[in-house]
Amino acid sequence: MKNFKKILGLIVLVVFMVSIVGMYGNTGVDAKTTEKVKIRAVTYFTGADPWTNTWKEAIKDFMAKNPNVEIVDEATPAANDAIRTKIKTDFASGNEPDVTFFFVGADAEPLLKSGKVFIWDDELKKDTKWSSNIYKSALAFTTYNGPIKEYKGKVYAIPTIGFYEGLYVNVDLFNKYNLPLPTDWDKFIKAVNTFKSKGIIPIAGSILESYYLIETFILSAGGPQGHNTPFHPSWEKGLNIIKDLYKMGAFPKDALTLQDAQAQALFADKKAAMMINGSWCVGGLKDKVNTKIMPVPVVPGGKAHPTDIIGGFGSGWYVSKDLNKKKNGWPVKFVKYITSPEVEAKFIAVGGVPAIKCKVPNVTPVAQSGYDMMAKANSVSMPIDAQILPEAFTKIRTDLAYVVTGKKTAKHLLAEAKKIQDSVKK
Amino acid sequence: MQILKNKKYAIGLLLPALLLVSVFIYYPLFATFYYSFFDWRDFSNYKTFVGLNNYVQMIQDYAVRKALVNTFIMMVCVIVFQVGIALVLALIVDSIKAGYKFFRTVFFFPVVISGTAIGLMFYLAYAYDYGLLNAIMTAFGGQKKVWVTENSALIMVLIPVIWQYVGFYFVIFLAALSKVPHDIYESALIDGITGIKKAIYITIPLIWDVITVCISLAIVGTFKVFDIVYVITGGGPMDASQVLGTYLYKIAFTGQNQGYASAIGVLIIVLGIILSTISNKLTERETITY
Repeated sequence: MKNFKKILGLIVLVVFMVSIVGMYGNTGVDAKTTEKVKIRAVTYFTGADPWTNTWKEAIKDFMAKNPNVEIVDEATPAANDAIRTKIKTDFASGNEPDVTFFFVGADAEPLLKSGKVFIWDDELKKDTKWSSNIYKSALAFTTYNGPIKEYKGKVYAIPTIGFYEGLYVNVDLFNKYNLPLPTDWDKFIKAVNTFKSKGIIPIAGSILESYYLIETFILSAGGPQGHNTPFHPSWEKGLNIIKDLYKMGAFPKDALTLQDAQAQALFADKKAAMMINGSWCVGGLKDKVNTKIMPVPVVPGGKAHPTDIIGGFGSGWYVSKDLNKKKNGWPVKFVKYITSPEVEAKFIAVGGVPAIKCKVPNVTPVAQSGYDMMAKANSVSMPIDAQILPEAFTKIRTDLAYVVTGKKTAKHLLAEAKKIQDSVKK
Repeated sequence: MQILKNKKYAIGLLLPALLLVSVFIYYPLFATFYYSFFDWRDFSNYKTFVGLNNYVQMIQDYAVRKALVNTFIMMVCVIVFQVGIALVLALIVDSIKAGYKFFRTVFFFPVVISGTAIGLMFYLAYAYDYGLLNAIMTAFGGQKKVWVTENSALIMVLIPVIWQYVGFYFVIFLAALSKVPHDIYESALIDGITGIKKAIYITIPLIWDVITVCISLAIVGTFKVFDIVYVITGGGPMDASQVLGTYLYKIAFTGQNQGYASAIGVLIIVLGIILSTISNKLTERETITY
């Protein structure tokens, strides 16, 4: 019995040691791979995102070219603000990733406040072969102009995929009912009334997720100056236009609870004639030929130029200052690879507006109409949620339902949101 | 010391669990209470002490009041329908001989489905253009209707919330009923007591302690309702189906105001403790041993 116990003990010991050796083998801790660099990259290229496959392919290619580098893909969904929570808590707790693809504007400030974000200016000057491909206008969106001294006037993120917001039009439906395209307000309203009378949803818009309705109509009402001035009087007019359209029956009947994804499906399935949305919808369209993207028409008395649009470069590549130093500059090298014209072309082929000069093959007519709109734009304004506190914007967005149903005035809602905004500045 | 010596293995075995509970329950609990006195946004390292400001804001906040009212309505409905239906089903299933296992499995099944999946299922069922309910309506020649409105939103989220956990209480009641000795029923049968009278005068008093536990669980569970409401309505339209959990999420993660969200979290914890204590007191009866 004693011998049996000894043998059993020996077996357990051997198994344990074999497992330990196996574990070391799996983690790559051996003589050959001791210099292996691991780079944690957080993006929102998860399964639900149209760029996921391109992203996965890009990191695979990078690892094949650089066998000593392992990219740890920590993609987190943008839905329900999961990415915001992850990135902000990671930076606040000292667990920041080496490379981060994250929003710019108001969302960037907590990251910059931590002082952990790499400043790109020197690298942009040093490596002109790479940086000369990046559009200066795109870099302007990721240049900091706020109160944090360390970053003032500096580039804190490298832009890559830009966006625009506009009016999507199912041209075939307009042709079917002999309607002119909604290039001005009268034609737009005529289209709304005609489609409503024909049982077609005029505008596939969600009041629950009304980001794009709010931004585009406020721009239309106040022009870039009004739109870009927090709580400008023209904001009230913009919200009231949405209310008027809601009362006209321009939106789906369940617009108060309809989610944006379902609204997009209504447009893609031709159940709706128009949709106000962003460039990220292009990939999901079924008909990429009979669909056109154009600026939202100027509302009566609106201050916008007919080609003013919402758009820009709302996300960029951040690198951790300390981790880049610690890892011999590999995080920066990786971002340079991702923002090279070759990789950029692959990303833009899926959708979005390039921040980097590249040749995109096979551009669809609808995507081309989006690029044309962006190219002809008199001005491009960043959305409102990049300019005011998330809490204040959330108040405007989620309480818009009260305004469109007449339970609260636009003035009252904006006053409530401004109160939130002002309470923080004190 | 002698007691400690004798119980050292028990204490040793309990310590890891205590450590886990402390780290993942008690520490966040006290941290939430602490953060509720700060203006803390964007999960940043910068917090400003604001005293009771977040609590004052909470009192003035219409959405919090609406969420509280909805939570109380939900609580009453959950007690009446969730626990009530579960009890009725358990009494019926307990009285049948054939199909006992079948019904037990069928009624318990919704409990194992995630709340998010159930929420999505009902969201799609209620949808106006692609929804199941409207597809049925039009198939029978009816007109499509908007199912989730300001007036109906709370009921529309209550249906899946109640439906999901009926099976949970049903299984608990079934287990309690199986413990009731058969000779009591046989004596009752001799005295001529059958059917509803048997349930009211014999079965329910005998399992009363289990019923009180279920009521307490249902009350506490109401404060945890989140996923189903979040997926179906997001608390809207116009806060019509807002509950404290969804509002806390909206403030903390969409609004990025963690200080105010912590104050709402404290309200949920305090209400949960108070209400479960009251329910325990109200349902207190002398335990019947058999």
